[in-house]
Amino acid sequence: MTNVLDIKDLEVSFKSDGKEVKVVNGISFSIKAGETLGVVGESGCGKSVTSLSIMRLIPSPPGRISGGQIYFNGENLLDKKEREMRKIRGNDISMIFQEPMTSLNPVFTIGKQINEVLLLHYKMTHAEARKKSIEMLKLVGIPRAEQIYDSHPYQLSGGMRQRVMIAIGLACEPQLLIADEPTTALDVTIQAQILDLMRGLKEKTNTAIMFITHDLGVVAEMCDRVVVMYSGEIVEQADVDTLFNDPKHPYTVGLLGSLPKVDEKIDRLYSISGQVPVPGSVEKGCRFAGRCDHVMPHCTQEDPPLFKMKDGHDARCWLYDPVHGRKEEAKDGQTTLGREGS
Amino acid sequence: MLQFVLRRLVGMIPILFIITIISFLFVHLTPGDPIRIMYGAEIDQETYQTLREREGFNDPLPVQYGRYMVDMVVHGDFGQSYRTRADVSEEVMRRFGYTFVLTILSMFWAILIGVSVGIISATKRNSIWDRAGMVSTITALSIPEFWFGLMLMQIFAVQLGWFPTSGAASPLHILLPSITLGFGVAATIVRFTRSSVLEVMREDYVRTARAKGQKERVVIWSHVLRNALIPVVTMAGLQFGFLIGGAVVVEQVFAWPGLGSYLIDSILSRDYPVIQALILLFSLQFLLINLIVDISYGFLNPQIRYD
Amino acid sequence: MNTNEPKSYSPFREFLVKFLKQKMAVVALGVVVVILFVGIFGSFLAPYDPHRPVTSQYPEKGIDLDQLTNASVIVEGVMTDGSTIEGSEVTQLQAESENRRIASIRRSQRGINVNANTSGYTNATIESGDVSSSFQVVVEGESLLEGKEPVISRLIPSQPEGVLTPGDQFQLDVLAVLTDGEELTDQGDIHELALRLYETEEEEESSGFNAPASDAEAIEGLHFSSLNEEVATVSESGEVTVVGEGEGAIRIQTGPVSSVVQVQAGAAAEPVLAYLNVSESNVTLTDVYKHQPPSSIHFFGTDHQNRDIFSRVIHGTQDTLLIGFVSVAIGAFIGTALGLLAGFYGRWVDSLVTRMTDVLLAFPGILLAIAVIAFLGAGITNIILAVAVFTVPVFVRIVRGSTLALKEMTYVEASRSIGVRDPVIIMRHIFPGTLSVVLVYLTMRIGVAILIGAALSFLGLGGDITAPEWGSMLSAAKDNSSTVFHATFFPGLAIVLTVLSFNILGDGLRDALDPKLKE
Repeated sequence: MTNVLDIKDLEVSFKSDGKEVKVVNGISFSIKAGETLGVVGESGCGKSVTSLSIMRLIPSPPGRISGGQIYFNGENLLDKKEREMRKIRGNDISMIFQEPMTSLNPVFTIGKQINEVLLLHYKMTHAEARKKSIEMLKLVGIPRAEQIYDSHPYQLSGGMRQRVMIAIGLACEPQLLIADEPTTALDVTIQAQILDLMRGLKEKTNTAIMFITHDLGVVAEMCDRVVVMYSGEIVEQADVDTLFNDPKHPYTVGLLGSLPKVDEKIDRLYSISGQVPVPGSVEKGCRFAGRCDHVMPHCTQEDPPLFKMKDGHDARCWLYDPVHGRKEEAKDGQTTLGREGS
Repeated sequence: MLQFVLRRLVGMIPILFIITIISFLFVHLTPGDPIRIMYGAEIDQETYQTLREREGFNDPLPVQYGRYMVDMVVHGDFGQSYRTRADVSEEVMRRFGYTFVLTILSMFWAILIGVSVGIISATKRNSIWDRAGMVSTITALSIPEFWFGLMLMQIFAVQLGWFPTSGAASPLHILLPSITLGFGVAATIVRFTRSSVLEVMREDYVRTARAKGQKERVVIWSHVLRNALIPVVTMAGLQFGFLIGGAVVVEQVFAWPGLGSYLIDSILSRDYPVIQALILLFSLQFLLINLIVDISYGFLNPQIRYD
Repeated sequence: MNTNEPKSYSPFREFLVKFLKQKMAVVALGVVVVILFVGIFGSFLAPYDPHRPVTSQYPEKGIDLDQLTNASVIVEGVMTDGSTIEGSEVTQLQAESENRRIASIRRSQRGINVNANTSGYTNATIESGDVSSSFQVVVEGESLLEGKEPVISRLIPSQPEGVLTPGDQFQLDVLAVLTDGEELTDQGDIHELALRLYETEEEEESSGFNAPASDAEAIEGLHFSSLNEEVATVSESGEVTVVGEGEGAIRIQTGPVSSVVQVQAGAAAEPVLAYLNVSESNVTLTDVYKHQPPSSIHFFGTDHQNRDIFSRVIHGTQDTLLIGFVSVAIGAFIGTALGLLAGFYGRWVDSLVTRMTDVLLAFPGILLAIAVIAFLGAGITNIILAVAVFTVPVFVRIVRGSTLALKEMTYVEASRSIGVRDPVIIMRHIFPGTLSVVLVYLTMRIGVAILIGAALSFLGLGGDITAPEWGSMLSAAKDNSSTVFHATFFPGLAIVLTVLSFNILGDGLRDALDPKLKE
């Protein structure tokens, strides 16, 4: 299968107080057609910035894409002119945002907001657009679609609004849908409905999805492959089964450890101590070193590269380095990293 | 909607009632005897008493107030000017048009300049245009209207001779006074528009519009402005009241025959019936403007419903 | 010396650092300090008494009135042989001013004396026999110098050299010197200019006739005439033909200015007067009795009663600041007190105060102030009260707001729970918390108060219209002449500068004290 999206060494910098700080630091990953890729990480790790870079919607200033390439169907989006990008946005790549409550324009009707994207990218009359919009509303499971078409966003609940956002996102049958924490702001039952909807739609349309979340449960449910990000870097990537069954990076291990499990009775959930470092504050060495249970002297000396575990599974950790890793690991007497907190 | 307007109009009645009492008492509490002002200070005691009786000043206050209200509400009669003996309501009607046209045109300038400069400042934030805009607004807010008017008159009417200096003889006469009156409000609108647009540009739905592939121009002019201008309209509406206040000064500068100069002349000559009528009229105007602002707000913001 | 000891946190130091970062606000603070200084020591700083005309003060200042109103122009006669004679030797020298109301001219020892009467401009002509020159007199003051343009001051002809014999022909060369010093050599240009300059007179003379009278036509433009047709004739273009022997002369004329060229055929003769030279062709004087323009002795000029505007502006600082400070102080005091009470006690106190505030805030400040003046009568004290009245609700609103927030603070609840009395809580715990907001608004409202105060006195509600107060000065200047720029410009500029400084300072204080206040 071909790659819809190929990101190579993407770097994004933001300027604050006159100083430029890299918030995304050389990440590379790809998404195949029809695949759902989960991007996981704590808030502030650069997930959303990465997704906005693909759309070329980084607010500039203060932000800018300072390096790398983003290939979409083999063409580098970073070389595109703004006019060419506008043809891609909403049409070939579309995006759903975290906050359904504020992502719709309060002064326009729902219909107008779905029509907008259709009229931008398709040669359509208003009547055709209206027909297609109502169709889309029905597709995303909105009852009384004709009535909702003429409603204003404030008349809709959060879940309904996110359905509308999905309708807008899928209206032009994009090849890639970027969903930036689409369910975070919703309550659990609505969350499940929206995820069901997205899964169903994906099967129907075969759209590739980049699913950004901090919720590993959602990842397990939705994704084929997972990229784990930490402080602007990819620390581990694998297919979803491998990641859940055999996590390699201590951070991933920690994340999984902090998930509650049905089959175990525990008093306290594990949590990773400390906080994500402020971008630019780690000068050398591994960014996770400060919070890592397995930190070694070398970790604070040099930034680890991605080590290949097996095909399609990489981890950015010195533990897997033939020179520095094994030796010290052997001392420890450990061969695999156990799931903490269990 | 209609119900809302009616309810608001009914709600205005008690406020207006209080204002009539205040404006009525105005004549009776202020220093100076109306008879002396009307007929001069030299009249003898006997004539004075007769006149006082004839003008009804010897009746108890509630009776006088009742007569005042009946005259006003039933006959539309605001009494006669002490100074000119002219019918106040006629004079007010004649002058009202001048003030009305002046304030409307000033508001037009203010909104035209205010909104466009505000948008430019916000969309080109921190650019040289933005800074220039901000420096000019704080300066404009520090310039007294009457001086600005005098300077405009000096430069464009006296030195260059492009416009007439004062009076209201031709349509061209309104230009300088309306610009003078509008510029201060324009500065306020610039600041307000700028911050409103900046705030809306940070909203998620603006990002949504961009993510749809919408042109930046359309994003600003449709998505941003429709939202950003809602508070601007409210503010501009409230500024209307302040525009009428400013008109008092500007009319004096350009000898514009509106209500403002009428008010000042009347105050200087203690022409109380006129002052009375004008206080009432100005209050009524503010109340109506506030109502209109509230109604127009609803047209722009679908979330407001009139219930 | 550099110690690394951590300094204890000081909110004041933090404020100072934030404030000093804002360069505009620091500059504004400097200007405010200067304005305050001027306000306090104004009476010592003013160079003139602001209440009296300056002309009556000149003797005590040692300024010679005559120097300002008089000028002497030295006249020199230039003979046809190039030699010069002094003005006193020129025979029958006559001087005349075109408009005696503006400037009068009389002969003096070496030339002529110009005396300014009132503002405006006029041309003056000096004449001796066939030759004449002119110069321009400008008296600065309230009149607009509309239509003023340089005129021809003198015509300098070149004299033919050597002895001429009948039959000789030559072309006259003439140089025209304008009153602004410009020189024209081309006869065509001179002709054009003369046609334009003296055209209006022609029209006046010929009014009523369809065609200009032939007499008038004769001196249109650059005109040549022979004074002795038996010796020499001259064509319209200045071509001279010597026709006989003897003493001849050609007169060259444009409007009132004329020169003579000597045409001497045969025996040599005494040189005659060719033209008159003046030491100054553009005399600028000042109308010292009214509306003097800005100059080195009166930086801002003088007003309609000839009072020094600079001194009046300096004196007026005090009144203006007084209106600003006192009214805002009164308004802030009452407003803060009411706001604290309303915010702290809530219930009916709050609803009463808020209701009142809303009503007052609904009216534009200036109308409210005018209503108060209408009630109390005109006068500076009443202006202060009027401005205070509309300052009150502003402070009520902001102080009430922050009181409501502070009331919920744990330390306030704590002091309540241990039984501290209400007045103590208000003064100790709540009032200091509102102080930063009050301070910011104090500064910003001073600007507004000054503006409204000035507007009220501009409207004539300040009582004494002759007082050196900026608003009244503008009002008086506006009524007395619409053509004098400086009388309205400088007092207004003083207002703008003062208000602007307070506004920028207020902005700076706000940003440094509480960025959240930023709208």
